[in-house]
Amino acid sequence: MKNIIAFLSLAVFLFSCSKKMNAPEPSRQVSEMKIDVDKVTDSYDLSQDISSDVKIVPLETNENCLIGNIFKIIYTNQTYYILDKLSNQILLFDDKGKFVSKLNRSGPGPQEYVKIDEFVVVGEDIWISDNASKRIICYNKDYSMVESVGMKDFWVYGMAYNAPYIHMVNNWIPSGAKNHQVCIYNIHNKKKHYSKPFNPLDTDIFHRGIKQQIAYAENSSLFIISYNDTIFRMEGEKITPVYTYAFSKRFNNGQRKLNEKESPDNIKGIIGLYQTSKSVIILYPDRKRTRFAIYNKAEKQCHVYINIKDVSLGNMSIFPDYMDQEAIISIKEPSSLLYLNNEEHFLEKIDSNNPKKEQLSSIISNLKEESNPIIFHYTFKKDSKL
Amino acid sequence: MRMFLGLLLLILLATVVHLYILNNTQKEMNLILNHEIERMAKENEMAFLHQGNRKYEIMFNGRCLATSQKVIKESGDSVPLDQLFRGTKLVFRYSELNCNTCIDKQIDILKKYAAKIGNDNIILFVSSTNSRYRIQFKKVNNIHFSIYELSSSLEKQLPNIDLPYYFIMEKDNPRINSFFIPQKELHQLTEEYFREILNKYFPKTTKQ
Repeated sequence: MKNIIAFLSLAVFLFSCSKKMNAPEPSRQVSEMKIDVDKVTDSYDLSQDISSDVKIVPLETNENCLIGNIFKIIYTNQTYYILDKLSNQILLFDDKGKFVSKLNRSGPGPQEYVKIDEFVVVGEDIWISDNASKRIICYNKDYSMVESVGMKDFWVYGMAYNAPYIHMVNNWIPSGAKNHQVCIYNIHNKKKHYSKPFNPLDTDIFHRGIKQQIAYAENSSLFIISYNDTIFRMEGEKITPVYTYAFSKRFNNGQRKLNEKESPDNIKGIIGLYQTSKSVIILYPDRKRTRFAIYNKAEKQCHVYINIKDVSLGNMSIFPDYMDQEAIISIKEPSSLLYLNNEEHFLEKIDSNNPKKEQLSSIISNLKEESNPIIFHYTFKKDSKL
Repeated sequence: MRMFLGLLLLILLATVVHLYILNNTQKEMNLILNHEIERMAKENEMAFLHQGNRKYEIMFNGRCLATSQKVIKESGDSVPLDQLFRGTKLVFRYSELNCNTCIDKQIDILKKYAAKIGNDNIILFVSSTNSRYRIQFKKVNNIHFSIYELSSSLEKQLPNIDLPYYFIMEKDNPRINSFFIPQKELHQLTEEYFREILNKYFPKTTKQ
């Protein structure tokens, strides 16, 4: 009898203490990123952080590999993997810019995809997300489908690989019960965990047109999501809130009423998130211009810049299309190199002793407006501040 | 003592059953509430969208375009607007940065009505970062409409509003007419717009 009572008491106790799974790990180390939108410094000179041997790679142009609209670039296996959302394919170029091959298997068949929304490279395999068919699909180096994983009720907007996990995030209205915000897939044991780890805030923050929602570096992925002011970290299967961000003013973080006119001066959200070993970089549009907020992880300080420039290359502005702890890749359209002669062409500003001047000059002389873009691949120095 | 223990056991059982029912009811309530919140959020968002779209209609309808302004052809040459609008034209204005699904849906509907409107009477105005986009866009979508890049001055008059839009331009009338922002969620409304402009502006082409 005593045992029964004890058992029932324990059951009642455990029942009352049940906890939701997949909740983020509570962290006392959430730092606040204060982004002062009025304290904007001219530009950040990247030349202090990068080694002098910047790789300038003009991508081969021919009918087979004409790139319409670059959505994402990844550099691994001495290869540039480029997702062209317009032609719905991933093109591979070697590190000299020579076209290697492409993943082009769009179609209605079971081995095919409808639309590539995101991708990661795992070894030599390419994992793509295909929201239209609600799957993530793995293609091997011969572009044969080797695995297909159903993603019920989850639209993948951001994807990063953190061995052996594929981290995926959503960016939709998180009010629905089924509307998970995160999915972690273990490619070894084939298990996936959906998670809705945080409740939406009563806010109008919606990162519209976000290009980079998840940032991988040093074995962890940082990510942001709409209707929340927190940057989370995913390490393996663990999700931890690490930073909260706040713009000093003009941030549309209040619930807008139906008849309330929205000011064009409002900062509406973030369009890009990157991280290196020392910094977190946030890109946000302010009055139709992109601003770069660089947060130093050690100093816990944030500085805002109009742009990032490479002084050694004629003050060329650098828009990061890929960034991790080792490198920054910036893609330049031919038109931006051909018609930069407002007052003085940037080539004139490059020191004549700089060997890159001659290389750039030769590349530009062979460029046409319809040529494929040029890749500027910068490698960080060991003592880089960024 | 036995009676007391029996009573205690009964109370405990009743508590467990009560907590179980309470938990289930709470789950059901949460589910209903979540659905309701989701529905209201969607309604609210649609109301915002409609309001914004109506504002754009008021802003754009009747706007006069300077027909001396130029657009850039696929070949890279410039051409003034008055050379394009030599007859009634349906213009589809979009940007490379607009949502892909929104553009794809409109291209499908344009292809569907192209025979009735006439390929020559459909013009695409695009903002893109490179000329390859226009070449690839035609190839990928297998379309035969003319596609032009806007000059920066014309872009001020026909700005990218983050959503693709349609309007009608007529010969000897430099004003924007029948401005319409299609929404992918309201496909029937777009169909209605096309039926309306077919009757109003392209009746002869329709009869052919």
